[in-house]
Amino acid sequence: MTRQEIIEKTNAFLVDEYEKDPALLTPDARFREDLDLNSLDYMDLMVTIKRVFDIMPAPAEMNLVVTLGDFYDFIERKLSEPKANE
Amino acid sequence: MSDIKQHTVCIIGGGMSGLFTGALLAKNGYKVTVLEKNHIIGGGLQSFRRGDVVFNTGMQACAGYISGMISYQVCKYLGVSNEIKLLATDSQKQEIIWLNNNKSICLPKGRDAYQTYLVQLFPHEENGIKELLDCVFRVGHTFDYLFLQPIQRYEENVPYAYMSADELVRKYIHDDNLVAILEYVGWTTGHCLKAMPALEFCMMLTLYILGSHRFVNGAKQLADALCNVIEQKGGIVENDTEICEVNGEDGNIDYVVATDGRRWESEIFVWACTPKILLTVCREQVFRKSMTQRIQEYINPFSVFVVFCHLKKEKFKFINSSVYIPKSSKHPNLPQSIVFVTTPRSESDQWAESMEIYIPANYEDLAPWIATHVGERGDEYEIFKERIALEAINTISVYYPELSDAILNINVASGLTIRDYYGNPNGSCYGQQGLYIPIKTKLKNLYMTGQAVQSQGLAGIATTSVLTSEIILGRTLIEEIAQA
Repeated sequence: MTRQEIIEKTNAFLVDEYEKDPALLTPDARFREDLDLNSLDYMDLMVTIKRVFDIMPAPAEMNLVVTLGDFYDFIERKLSEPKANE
Repeated sequence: MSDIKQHTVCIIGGGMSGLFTGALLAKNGYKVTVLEKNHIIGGGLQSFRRGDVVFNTGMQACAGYISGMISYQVCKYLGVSNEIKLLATDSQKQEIIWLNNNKSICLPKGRDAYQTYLVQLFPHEENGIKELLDCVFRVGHTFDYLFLQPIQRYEENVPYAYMSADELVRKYIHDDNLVAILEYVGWTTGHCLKAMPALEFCMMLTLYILGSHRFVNGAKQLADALCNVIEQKGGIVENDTEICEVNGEDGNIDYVVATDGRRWESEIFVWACTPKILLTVCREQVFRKSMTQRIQEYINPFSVFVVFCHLKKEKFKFINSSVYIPKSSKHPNLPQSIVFVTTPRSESDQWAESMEIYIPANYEDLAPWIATHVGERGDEYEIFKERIALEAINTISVYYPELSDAILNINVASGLTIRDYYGNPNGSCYGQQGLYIPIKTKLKNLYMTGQAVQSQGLAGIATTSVLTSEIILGRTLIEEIAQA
């Protein structure tokens, strides 16, 4: 998956499933302060990430994600890692 | 339109959460109507009698019912604490866990005693046990309302909700035998440690270590006491009322409709049942899509067979503990044990007259009867259930040989009974719990309560009932409850 595809998929679910304004979805938008997603929302996010990208992040990994740009980086890095059963 | 009644708050679901929320709102001046689909109220607080013997169908033990903690204080606040009879579980052996080598583990009450006992058994895991319990108690105590504290720390440990209990335990414990013993905690939520959120594990283990109680003569006494609070304040509890439509427009619920066509209007509605059912009966969008998706994808707790054993008089000693017997299961998501409890009939029972045995089960094994209803499942179903029950009784008899001769008769419930009675998807022994869904929905006058909001058990339900009531009332209650 290319970075552009990651960005498109992420922004699509944030608009469609999390009801976020597309205009807010910039790489420097902060999850908590700008997108109003708190740690309870992260519970939904974990399910969405698994469904959209087939990744199950560890909680500690998600704690390092502050901005949307961090999120794109994180997904890109995780997708490039070999899967445990491969 | 003469059958339309005006009420202030209409609660759908007359189980523990509906009754607690109803009683709290009734006490605070609301006219409450509780609608219960079954013939008898109580849900998980249900118990039934055969002659003078009482059997519990749901809740067996309540953990953390202690002065200074929420479940006790809410009962006191509602004036029902003196009406319900509870017996403290044996402090030296709250849980008895039998091992395959015929030795038993007896887990005591109290953090220090619990830790000391485990360290004696597993001295090579001393540091791990201490660190695990430190973590469990730290995370468990972040459920501020459980301990009657203003909400301050709750959100900080939400990440533990998406870590598995198995992952948390194995971070500190390396001995598989000790991990296997800790699997008993999974029975409190109907999940193996691998499927149980670490947050749930920490909360439940904290509560159980602090101490558990058992209802003397059945759990229904609490349901009846809460119902009395509602009715004494002018409220109504309607049985045999299954809601099949939740209707409204412009972001508001106007009325709900029962399967027999009756309908109720109200200013406020509270959904006190499984959220998944709400998604099927409400035409409006209740939650944002991401949350709806999570509710739909929720992994159900495992299903169980429950064997209700009527025991002969003075043949089987009353055991004031939950007893875990090893029983291997080929299914990776089922616990490798069955559980039995004997229901206390008084505070000083020597002998048991009833026993409930819980056997983990695969819902898929009930495939031939999944489309059937109560009373029409046929002889093969009865034979199938009886075979499961006899296997379990034989397994327990290895450890308690007196059981075989002590049984007068048995009744067996399967996951289908649970599905049809509680509405739990796939006959789960618990419904949807620990989903951390919001109390406020997208609909202005529809609120959620119950185990899906935070957690289950008496403590979890008392907490969510207070939280829901506070949002509806527009003020906090926790200080008044703490001072009751």
